[in-house]
Amino acid sequence: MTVNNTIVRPSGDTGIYIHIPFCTQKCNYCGFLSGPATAKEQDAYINALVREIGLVADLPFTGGEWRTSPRIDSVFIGGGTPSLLDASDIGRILAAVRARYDVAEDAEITIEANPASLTADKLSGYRAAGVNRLSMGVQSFDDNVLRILGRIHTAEDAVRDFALARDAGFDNINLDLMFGIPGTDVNGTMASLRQAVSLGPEHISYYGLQLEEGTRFWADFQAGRLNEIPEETDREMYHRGRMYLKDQGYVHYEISNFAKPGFQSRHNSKYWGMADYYGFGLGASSYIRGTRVVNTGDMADYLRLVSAGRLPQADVYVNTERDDIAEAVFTGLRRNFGIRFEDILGSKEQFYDYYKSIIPRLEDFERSGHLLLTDEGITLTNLGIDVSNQIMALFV
Amino acid sequence: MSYLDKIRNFSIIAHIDHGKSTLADRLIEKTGLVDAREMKDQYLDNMDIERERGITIKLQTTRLAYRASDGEDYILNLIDTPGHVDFNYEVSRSLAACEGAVLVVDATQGVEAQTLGNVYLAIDEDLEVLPVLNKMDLDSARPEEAREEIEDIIGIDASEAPLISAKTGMGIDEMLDKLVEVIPPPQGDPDGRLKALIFDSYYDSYKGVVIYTRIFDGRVRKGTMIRLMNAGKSYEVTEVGYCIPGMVPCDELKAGEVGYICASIKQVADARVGDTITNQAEPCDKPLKGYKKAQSMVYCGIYPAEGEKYENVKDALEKLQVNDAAFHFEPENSTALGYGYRCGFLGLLHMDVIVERLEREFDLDVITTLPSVIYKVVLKKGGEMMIQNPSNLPDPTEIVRIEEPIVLADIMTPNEYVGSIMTLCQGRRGKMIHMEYLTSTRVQLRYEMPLNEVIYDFFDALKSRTRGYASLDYEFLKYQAAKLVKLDILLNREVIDAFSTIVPEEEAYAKGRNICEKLKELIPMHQFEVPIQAAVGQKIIARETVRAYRKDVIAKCYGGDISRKKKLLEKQKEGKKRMRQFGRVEVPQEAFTEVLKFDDSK
Repeated sequence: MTVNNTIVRPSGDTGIYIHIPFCTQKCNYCGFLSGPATAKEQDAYINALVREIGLVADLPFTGGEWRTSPRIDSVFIGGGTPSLLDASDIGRILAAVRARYDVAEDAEITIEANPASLTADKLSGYRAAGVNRLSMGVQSFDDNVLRILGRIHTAEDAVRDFALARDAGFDNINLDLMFGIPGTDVNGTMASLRQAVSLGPEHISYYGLQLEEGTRFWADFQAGRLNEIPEETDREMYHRGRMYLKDQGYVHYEISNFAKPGFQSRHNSKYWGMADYYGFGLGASSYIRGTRVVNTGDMADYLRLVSAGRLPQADVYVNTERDDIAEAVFTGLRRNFGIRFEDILGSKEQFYDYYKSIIPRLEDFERSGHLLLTDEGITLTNLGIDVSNQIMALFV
Repeated sequence: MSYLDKIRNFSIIAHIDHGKSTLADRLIEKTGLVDAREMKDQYLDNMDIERERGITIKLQTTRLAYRASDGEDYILNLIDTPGHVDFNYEVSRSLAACEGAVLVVDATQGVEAQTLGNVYLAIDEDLEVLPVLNKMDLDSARPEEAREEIEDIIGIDASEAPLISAKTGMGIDEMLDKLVEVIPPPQGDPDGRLKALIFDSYYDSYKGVVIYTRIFDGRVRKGTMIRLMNAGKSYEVTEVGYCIPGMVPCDELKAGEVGYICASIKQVADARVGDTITNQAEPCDKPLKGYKKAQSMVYCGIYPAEGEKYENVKDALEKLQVNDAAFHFEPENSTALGYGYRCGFLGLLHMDVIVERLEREFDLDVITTLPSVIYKVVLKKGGEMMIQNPSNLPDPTEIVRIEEPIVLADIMTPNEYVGSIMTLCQGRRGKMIHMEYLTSTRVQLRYEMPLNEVIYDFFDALKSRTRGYASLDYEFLKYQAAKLVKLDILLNREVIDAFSTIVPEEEAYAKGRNICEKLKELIPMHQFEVPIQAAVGQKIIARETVRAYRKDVIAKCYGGDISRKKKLLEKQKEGKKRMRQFGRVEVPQEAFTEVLKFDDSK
């Protein structure tokens, strides 16, 4: 089927993701590209990163849509533990971005930080470099749970570093909190969440532990040394946490994300709204003008390619219209307001025509209370969130 | 001296794995008609599936030129035989085309049950049997014991049995000299009325059916009007020739010779193995004895899987039938699976082979339902009906009795497994008829058993309990009344007809429980609880529940890696495609065959 008037691609500014694959010690659940590295290795990587940022900026824009480099309104430095880097390194990276891209005055510039890797000096240095949002990987306020996770910090570290961040002027802080951790219960999880809220962050990411292949947890699970918590408990943790956060004035704007009004993450919203974003660094993902690119996950390859002046791409995939439509739907459904037919395919009629084979299934899901089908679009209910994969899979 | 004196027609009899195909390869190689470069391993087994399973299903024949050590030239016609319990009739017809048989016994293993079955077939056909001991290159060969077993068990003289290794070629010349000496030349009158045996046939898309034949009397050439006496049909011969082993046309085939005939025949069912070919104008007085109609013993439904076209399945089944007289099918429909076919097979292996060929050669996605035997149902209103599909069983109130097919099963086993085999057979409603110590360590058990108990997984269970040492051979014996009931399976309170089976009344509970447990493992979690129930009539006799899943959500989309998330969703969707939807319940397609698979842990 061809769709002539696909309008899934929104207008708007572009985001930049920068991956810092370093950490003090690998956490037991972490399936990301990250690991300990020497100062020399870190330095080589940052040099390559700066080079890659330039290489991409040098690409000719042939699409016709943009004759100049697009405007950047969010930068997200993620990891790993980017806060292992000195403010000067972060400054170098951001300077490289600013030198080659049109970064908006009010751009959201986030850095991920782990407690115990922060100091007052570092934090003010980040501020000075232009970072205006801090995302702290707290995960839990229970030291036993932190030990299970293999985190290097304590609850006390988190509380102290949060205060340091406030002192340094960070007025937009996210805390990452995890639930569904083996060996935990609902009460303990809620206690952590309450403690997080008591600090008064602008944003909370409250998400379930996922067993990822290649992690310590995965191996333990396979060997029978680790039990997943029951699905019922996992869901109780999620829904009680969700309701609590709502009561505390946080808007539930995406499956795992909660924010004080006006503090929704601009950067992450790009992923859920088919907006463009560049991804720089090891294993980073980009989505630029309908093309998805994933960088190599091999550090040696990455350094070699970039130093040879080549893009470190491992996978380049030009989305078809079908891909764009499917992705717009399943990423969009993660948001509290869901998807609007108009944004995806122009109108309800066209949407229903395009997806006619699955409409009966959608209606089943509506009858069972998992989603709302309106004239405007589709929204998952809280019940629907629990089985969102089932629903999203219909659209791909 | 007649040309007949220079011909020897023989088969090779061997247990699976005892080296028949390897020996045939060596013979073809030795006698120089196939270039060594062209040799594929196991030349005679020409289907992939046979090659993979190491068994020969369709037989082939080949003509070998051999100069004996006395300087005389001989024509040796090797007629290959299939090597499985499902194909006894075909074996017997191949043997009927021969004057002798080479009995290959693995010198490391000794005599096995199935070898015995085929040897008896050969003796029934008055064949001269030449025993040879194979695998003599192996250290574990114990020729003296094997020789003793041949003499004790089969009762033929094995003192001069050639010692060979089909693998290395050792002893092959000596064996061939012995073969020429021991096996008598064919007899027959080339000037008499045509009388020839069809011992195999296959369909060739250019030539039509190619008949493999042994001429007993008379001659046949291109243009001869032949008549197939049992089928009652006549054809004009378009080509005759020898198999060397490729087809090489010749002027004529005459008494004593083995070769092929083409006569524009449309399907192999018209040129059934065992039929007699004669001359239309001058027929012989009566056909050769031993002809049997193909008899299906096992039935199952074959349905297009989700997304597969009915027509494609039909086309493929038709193509297979053209080449397989023992396989037949007719349309049926199932409430659960829609339109499909009820298919008849010689046995389970035959069924497996057909299903595998559908999947592999025709690239089809099919669902097979539980195999069933044919039940004879005696009705109150008079008359009887044959039931191949459990769903068609009439209401119990209309039935006087149900009869099931009983087979005579011969099991040969090392003595240490006798106890566990007896337990197994008792559990399968077997009745022991006979037990005999063939040697001090080798026992033959003879049971009368319901075929129904044999077809599902008996062979697997037997192998598993005897670490593969026991062998099985069986043949149809009779129909016998039994207390049987239809066991229905309900998913989410709806009967799924494709899961219905006919079982002995006293086993209904255990079977019902077992099927429910299996289905519980196979059916994925749904958004709602799925009750799985087994029922006899209106009575629920077992129940399991697939609990509802509570969570199927990806917590976070990290770093904008949408591609990865999409792959996960695509995989999930792909998994769904392999599901069959029954009402609101999704059942994986393999459930239909998995559900009664052998599980020794239970």
